Amino acid sequence: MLKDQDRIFQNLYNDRGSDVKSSQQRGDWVNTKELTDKGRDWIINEIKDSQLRGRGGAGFPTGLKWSFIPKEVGTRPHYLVINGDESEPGTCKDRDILRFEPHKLIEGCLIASYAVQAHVCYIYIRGEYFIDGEKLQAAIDEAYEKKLLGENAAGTGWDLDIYIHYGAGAYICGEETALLESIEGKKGQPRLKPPFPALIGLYGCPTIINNVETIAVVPTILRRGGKWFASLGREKNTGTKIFCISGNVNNPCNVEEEMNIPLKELIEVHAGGVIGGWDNLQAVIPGGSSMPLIPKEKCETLTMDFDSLMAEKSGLGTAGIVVINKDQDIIKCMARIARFYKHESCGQCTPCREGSGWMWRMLERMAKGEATKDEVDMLGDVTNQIAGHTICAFGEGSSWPVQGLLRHFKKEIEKRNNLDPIIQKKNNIPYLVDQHLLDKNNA
Amino acid sequence: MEVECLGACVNAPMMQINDDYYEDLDKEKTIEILDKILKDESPKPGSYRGRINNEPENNRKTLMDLKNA
Repeated sequence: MLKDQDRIFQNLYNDRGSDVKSSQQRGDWVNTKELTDKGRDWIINEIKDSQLRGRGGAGFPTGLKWSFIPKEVGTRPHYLVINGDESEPGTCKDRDILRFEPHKLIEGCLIASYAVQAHVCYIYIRGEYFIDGEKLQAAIDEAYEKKLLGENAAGTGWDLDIYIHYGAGAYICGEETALLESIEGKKGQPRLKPPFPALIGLYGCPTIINNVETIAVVPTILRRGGKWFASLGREKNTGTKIFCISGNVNNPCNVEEEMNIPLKELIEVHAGGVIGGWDNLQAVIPGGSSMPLIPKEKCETLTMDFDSLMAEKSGLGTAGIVVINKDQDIIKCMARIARFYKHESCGQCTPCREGSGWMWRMLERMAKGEATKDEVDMLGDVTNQIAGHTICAFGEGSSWPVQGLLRHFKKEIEKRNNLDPIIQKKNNIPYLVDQHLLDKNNA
Repeated sequence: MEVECLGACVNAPMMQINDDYYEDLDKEKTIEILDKILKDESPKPGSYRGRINNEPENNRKTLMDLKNA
């Protein structure tokens, strides 16, 4: 288990309060000027040395991302945008940072803004987190009062203003370009990339977008050195991460742990074990609902980091671990997730808009055992036609959980659905009926 | 209006009424909260099982020296 002094978020459970004074006791805002005086290149190199990867799901190296921003500010200003949309089911880590460690985030904003030469920083928070946003706003106001923000912020000689922007609670607004559209006041629909936001982003200006957790760990990395951060975890999967463990466990919780921690240790030690014992485990979704599930056999030895989960054809995502035990109907669970994605698809690309609904309807029928034999392969076919054929990663996100189900639980689906596709009078085969007529009641 | 995800999985089952989150609910506690709201009272937001924020209930193993300090 990670030592307590190596935990970055000391106030994760709000034992000490989140105001400036108690944050300073935990080491925030102590020597911000010393850090920025070492220069932009030093900051970016230190982040590169730490091998910090973005905590928002994709795991892109943060130092590399920052180095894409133009070296000189041209006619267009630079912007820093913090992604606090956190709409991935299974994840609730950013909320705790906004509530209990706001000054880590604000200080991170200042340092990151200095590194990418931005004078304005937007923090995008989903509308549901209104109370948590108010707490963050109170922390920002306090920081302005103490001259930690505004002109010559914290004595660094850098001017920075932070604005909070509330979203309306759409999943897709967590995608970076949809988030920019949303801040601009448009419909939250992703943009085509390239051009990447680092060159043409918010209002057409160079923009760096980072997750709340990524930015909040930056000050601590710079204080303790990139080497310290890189010594935790393993090569290219370094540092600590907040894991959110929910579902069928005895003590669902958020806990900050080292990368590459065994999944079994997380569940057994921190979350108090699976309900009904480890043998009652059916599957685990390792990184928020968009990641393919992992069956029990592999959970025994699985370690939680980006690359080892990638090797299992899943992903760390946002590290929202959802434990599913044998009391649950796995097909029904996936049908519910498919329904979520059907509801949240922005509708811009046809494969995703139509396909997410198809997947949901097929899975609903498969859960009831009303699908025909050949539909199981057809479902796999549909997922393959969505993934990779859309503007943003939502297509992958919606089809991966279904693909994971097909990969590991195909036998169970086939066992339940062995209806003969040939039309017989006795069978009331629902797929011959116009599905939209049936869906009106529950869509 | 249907809201799909409230981003508080660790505190499930939970619900949001106006801006406040009510967490760790069960059937009786939910009815109790709704009754209070019908009587124009404002029930206390947060966990309804006495849990402090997102810590593992009765099973906390981290940051112990800070606890209740």
